[in-house]
Amino acid sequence: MELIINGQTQVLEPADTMEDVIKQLGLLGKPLVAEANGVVLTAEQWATTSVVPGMRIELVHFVGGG
Amino acid sequence: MEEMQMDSEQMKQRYSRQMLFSPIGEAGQRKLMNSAVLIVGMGALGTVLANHLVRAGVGHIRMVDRDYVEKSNLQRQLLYDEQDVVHMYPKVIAAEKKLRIVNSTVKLEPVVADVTLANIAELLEGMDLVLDGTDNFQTRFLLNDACYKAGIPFTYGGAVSSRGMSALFVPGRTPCLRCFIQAGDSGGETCDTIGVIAPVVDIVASYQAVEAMKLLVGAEDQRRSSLVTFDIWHNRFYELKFGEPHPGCPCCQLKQYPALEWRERDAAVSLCGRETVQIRGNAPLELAVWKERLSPIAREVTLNPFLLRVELSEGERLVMFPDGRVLVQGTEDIVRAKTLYARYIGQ
Ligand SMILES: [Zn+2]
Repeated sequence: MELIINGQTQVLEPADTMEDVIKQLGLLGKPLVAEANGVVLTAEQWATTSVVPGMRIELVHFVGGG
Repeated sequence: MEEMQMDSEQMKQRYSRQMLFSPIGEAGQRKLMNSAVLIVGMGALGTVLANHLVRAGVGHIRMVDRDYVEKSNLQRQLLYDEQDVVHMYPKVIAAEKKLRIVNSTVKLEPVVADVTLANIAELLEGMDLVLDGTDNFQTRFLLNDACYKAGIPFTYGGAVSSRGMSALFVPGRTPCLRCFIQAGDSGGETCDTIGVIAPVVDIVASYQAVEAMKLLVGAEDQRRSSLVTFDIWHNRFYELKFGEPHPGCPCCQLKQYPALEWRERDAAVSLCGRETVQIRGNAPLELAVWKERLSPIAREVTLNPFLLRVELSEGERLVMFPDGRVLVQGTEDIVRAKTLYARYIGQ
């Protein structure tokens, strides 16, 4: 399944929800905000947000260093 | 707000370029001079923040940090030099020395301490804004919750590798840090494990500093209502627009402020990626007395007015602070650290 993640086209295994996508990328449990087509999704919305091919997703990692 | 005395001629000489910038002007300059801010963490972000704000003439700057200057800091922590490493100065003390000769009209208040639930309220006292220069989410959540409870704006900044991000969170006006993330684990990606380059830190801190200036001069309509995020090596920039606060946010919506709830906190923590365990003792340490006591049994003992460093024959090092904190360096193993602590310092 093709998705545009952080501006880059990426091919992933088929995924139904945002949570599947984040799991596939190995990012579950990280301090992360996902945005799908410009809408901010918090962690508890990932499991109920469907993804469709070609969707624009931004994954914003919160950065801890300083 | 605090009153700062400076006649307008002196003010014009020092701050002319900033006052010619019309959104600040003379009125804005006076507001900066009458403002008080807290910088938490005087590492890479904190030193850039302090440099900007001291030069800009923010009247009162309180700086807090628990650490002392080490050689690996010099690559990016712009206020420190090799002499500070030799003298093992606490970061806030070294920073104050530099900043005092940059702008002697600013009131600088260095505090050598670990920011915890026990001292956060005192640190926030009288402050108009808190600037995040910390290197961990545990402290950020504490700052976020304490600031929202006290109604004090808080600028978040973070940098690692070539990536950075920043946002200004204003109680009652914007979402807070917890609206975006609940989990604080960075998955081991810290400056100490994957590194960081200095330019990204400067950029992040500069984003924080400019939002601080807008806030302090009251330029509310110009404040950035988004979280900026970028990777300066891979040339990516993205703004996450603030929406409504998250309805279930335990901080700004439910007002539970989880980080402020008292709980039994482990007194020993491993400082991620740094081969250091920090142990918070429950009594102050008389450093000169400890120097006498440990000199005969340690390989080497070094005392300065702020800390005592003890090279142990086991290979590890103890760094002891007057407030009772001890860093056990050379191990990440909490049990090992506690063993050494018990052996040399006792209960
Ligand atoms: Zn919130």
